[in-house]
Amino acid sequence: MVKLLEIRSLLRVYYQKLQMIIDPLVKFLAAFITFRAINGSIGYDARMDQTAVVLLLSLLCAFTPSAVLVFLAMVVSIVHIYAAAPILALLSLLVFGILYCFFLRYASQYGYVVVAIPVLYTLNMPYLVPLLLGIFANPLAMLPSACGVAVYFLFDIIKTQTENSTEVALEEVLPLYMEVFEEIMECKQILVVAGVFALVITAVYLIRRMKMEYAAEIALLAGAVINVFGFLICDLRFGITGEIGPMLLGTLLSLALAFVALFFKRVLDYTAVENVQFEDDDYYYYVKAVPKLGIGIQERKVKQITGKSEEEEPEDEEDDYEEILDEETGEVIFVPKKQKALGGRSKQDVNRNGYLYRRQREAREQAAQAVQAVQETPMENERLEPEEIEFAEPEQPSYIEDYERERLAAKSYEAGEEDYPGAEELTHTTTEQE
Amino acid sequence: MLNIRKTRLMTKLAIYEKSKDGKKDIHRSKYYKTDYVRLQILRSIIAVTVGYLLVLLMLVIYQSEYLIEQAVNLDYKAIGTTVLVVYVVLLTVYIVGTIIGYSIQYDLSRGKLAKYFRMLKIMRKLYKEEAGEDKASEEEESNG
Repeated sequence: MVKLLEIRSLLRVYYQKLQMIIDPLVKFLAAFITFRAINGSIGYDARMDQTAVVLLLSLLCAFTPSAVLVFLAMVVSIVHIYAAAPILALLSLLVFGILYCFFLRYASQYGYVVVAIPVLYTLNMPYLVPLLLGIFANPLAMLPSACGVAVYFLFDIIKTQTENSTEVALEEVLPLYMEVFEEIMECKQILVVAGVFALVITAVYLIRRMKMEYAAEIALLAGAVINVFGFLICDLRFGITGEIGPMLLGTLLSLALAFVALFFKRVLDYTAVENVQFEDDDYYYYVKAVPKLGIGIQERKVKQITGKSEEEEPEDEEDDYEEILDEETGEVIFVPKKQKALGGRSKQDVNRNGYLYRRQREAREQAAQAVQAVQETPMENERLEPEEIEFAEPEQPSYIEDYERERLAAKSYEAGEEDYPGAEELTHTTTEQE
Repeated sequence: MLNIRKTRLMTKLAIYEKSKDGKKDIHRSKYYKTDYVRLQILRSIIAVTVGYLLVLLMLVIYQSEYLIEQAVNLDYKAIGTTVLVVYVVLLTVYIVGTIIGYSIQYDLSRGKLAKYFRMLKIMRKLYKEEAGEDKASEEEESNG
């Protein structure tokens, strides 16, 4: 586990460094796979099927928002369908319009789901989408997922229809339209699959939000189970038993991928390097804000000692702290929000890695290091506590002693004392001097 | 002189303003809640109307042969009523959904904006401090 976490922190660092390259590259690959899948499925227009066109479109998608990919995918598929049967292109356009007006506009941020589901259907892994949406999004995402399912079945129906009739005569245009329309209306699978996906998204979302340990993992497992049962019922109901095996396999693969995604979720969540520009009266600022990631390996060492697991890491650590202005110093202080329920973590939990805790821990570690450093130093340099130090009496020169003794003797003599201390010596010395 | 505290705060503000959520929240902050929800209702009405028209168009193309054949004998009143009733029901459902959904959304973005405004307040304080320091130094110079 520790090794895995080290790899994760390493990846985090590399992602931060290479963010400018990785992001467009991932987008490019996603777009490339999408366009290839569309061409492979309904590639009737030879012009769109060219590699150069696909590469160019993918390149465009690499540097633009995901909405552009969705739009381009729609345009490409309509162009393909138009080459096969213009009336079906009109039908597809109408269906897209209806889906947008009724469903997609309320969750436009998840527009890419509409593309992802048909594309993943070609890889037999559409089950990955609801699992991921349950983890990353909210139940509103069931709208685009339903749209995605509808689009997949629409293309499927169009594909089978156009394969049957290669050349469409002018008088056959309307019957073709009617046939496809009827098939769409009769295709109950759209509703059932969309329903199962909606159920999976909601279940995963609700379980993930529960305040218990391993909520996300349990949510994924529950989602997979619901998915399997839903599709089993669907397949048995529609008599397509041949799909049960691939469905089970696809669900297992999707579950594995979802777990991988969950593992990396926290890596990509807060590691984005921000490049911002702003100005005030005096300066223009071009700031590159790099999130602090110093909690990596040190953090884990602490966890090993106390025997806590990585799962207890707070998900939204940034949100667990309030910024408060210190009136005296004018500094912004981060204070943990105590009231906020933190899923599955006790109050005594010392292994949080928020700013404040990190600072405290760093201070503790520094103190421990300092103590160690003192202990390891050789004995000669050992520093004694003030009370342990014994000051040796400075040696007084002999003439000061003599002078003092003489002074005392003189004092006693003046007082008329016969037997003053050192009287003999004094007389002795005076006689010697004489 | 560069003020590090100010730069830090400004960076945080800029990151929030640049983010998708931030942009949306700040855009929403320009409206009162009722105005915002009303605007969204208006948009919903337009979207539902367009969507409904598209559905009707699809149906008309599907039934075109029958419609042309029976153009004279059709009970236009019954068809019109059905179409209208379905439209009104659809509209009601969407309007209620819009009111609930966008009210929640507005409240959520208000919560996030509170943090943003708090940072702005600190910012204003920093500016005031800076202005005070400048004034003091100017006075010192003029006195000296």
